[in-house]
Amino acid sequence: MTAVNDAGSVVGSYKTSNDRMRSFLYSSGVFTTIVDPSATGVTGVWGINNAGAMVGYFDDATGRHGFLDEGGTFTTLDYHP
Amino acid sequence: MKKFLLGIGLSSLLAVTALDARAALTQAFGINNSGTIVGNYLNIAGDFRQFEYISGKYKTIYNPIGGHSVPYAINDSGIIVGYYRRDHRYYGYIYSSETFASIDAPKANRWGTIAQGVNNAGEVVGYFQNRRGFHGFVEKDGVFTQIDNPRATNGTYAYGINNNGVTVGEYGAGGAFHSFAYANGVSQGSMFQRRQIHT
Repeated sequence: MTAVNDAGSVVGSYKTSNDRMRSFLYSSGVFTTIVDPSATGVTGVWGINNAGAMVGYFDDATGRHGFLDEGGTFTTLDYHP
Repeated sequence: MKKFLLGIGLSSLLAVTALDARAALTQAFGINNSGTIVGNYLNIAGDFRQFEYISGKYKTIYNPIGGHSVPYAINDSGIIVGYYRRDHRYYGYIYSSETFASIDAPKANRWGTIAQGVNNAGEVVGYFQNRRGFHGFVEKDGVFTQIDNPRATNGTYAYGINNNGVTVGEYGAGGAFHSFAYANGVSQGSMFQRRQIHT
C-alpha cells in the first residue's frame, strides 16, 4: 500500500499469480482494481486524497504517462511547460 | 538527527530550458486535498525533473543539488517529500517554501534514506537501511521513530501517512511482501516494535 487518506481508503499494488503488477483501491472493505482505460501496459496507483482522487502512471505504446482518476474519469498527465 | 538545508530552490529564478519542452515520460505520485499533484518527468536530455501540477499548469521544481530526484507526496500546506540520489546514495528531502532540507535517518548506512509520505502535521514517513536491513520510520521535527513489523524477516517499508497518523506500507516475510496499516504501535492485531533512533 502506497498511500492512505483520512477515511482510511488505501491504494497500492500487488502481483498476480502470473507475476503481473496490478493496482488497487481498498475502500470500505471493497477491493477495486484500477486500470487507466488508455493503458496497454502497467497501471500504477501511488496517491489518493480525501476526495478519493487518485494519481499514478500508466504505460502505452508511446511510453509512460501520469494520470488523475476522479471518480472513474481519467485525465492523462504529460508534462509540458 | 541529520537534517540540513540544501539551499534555496531556484524555481522562481530559473527559466524552463528548451530541453524541458516536452517530456519523454511523466509519472504522478502524490495529490493533496487541493488537487495539487506532484510527480516527475524525463526531459529529452535524459534528466528526471520534478513537477507540481496546479490548476492545469505544470511547474518545474528545481533540485538545487541536481541528480535524480523523485517527489512522492505533498500535504495541504504544499510541503513536498521525496528523495534524491547523490554519490550512489539515497537521501530523503523535505521541500517547503522553495527550500530543500535533506533528511537522513540516524544510523542509515551507505544505501541511505527514502522519504515517501507526509501529512498535514508534518509527520514524514519512509524507510532506511542499516546493517540489519530495511526499517520504516516516522519523522517529526527531526525526531525519528523506527517502525518494524514483528512479522518482517525481510524489511519494513513505510510509504504513506494520513492526518489521523495511520501509516501504511509493506514488510517482507516468507519470500513475499505484505501490506500493513499501522497506528499507535498497533497493526492488524499485532504490536509493532517502535523506538526512537538516537544519533
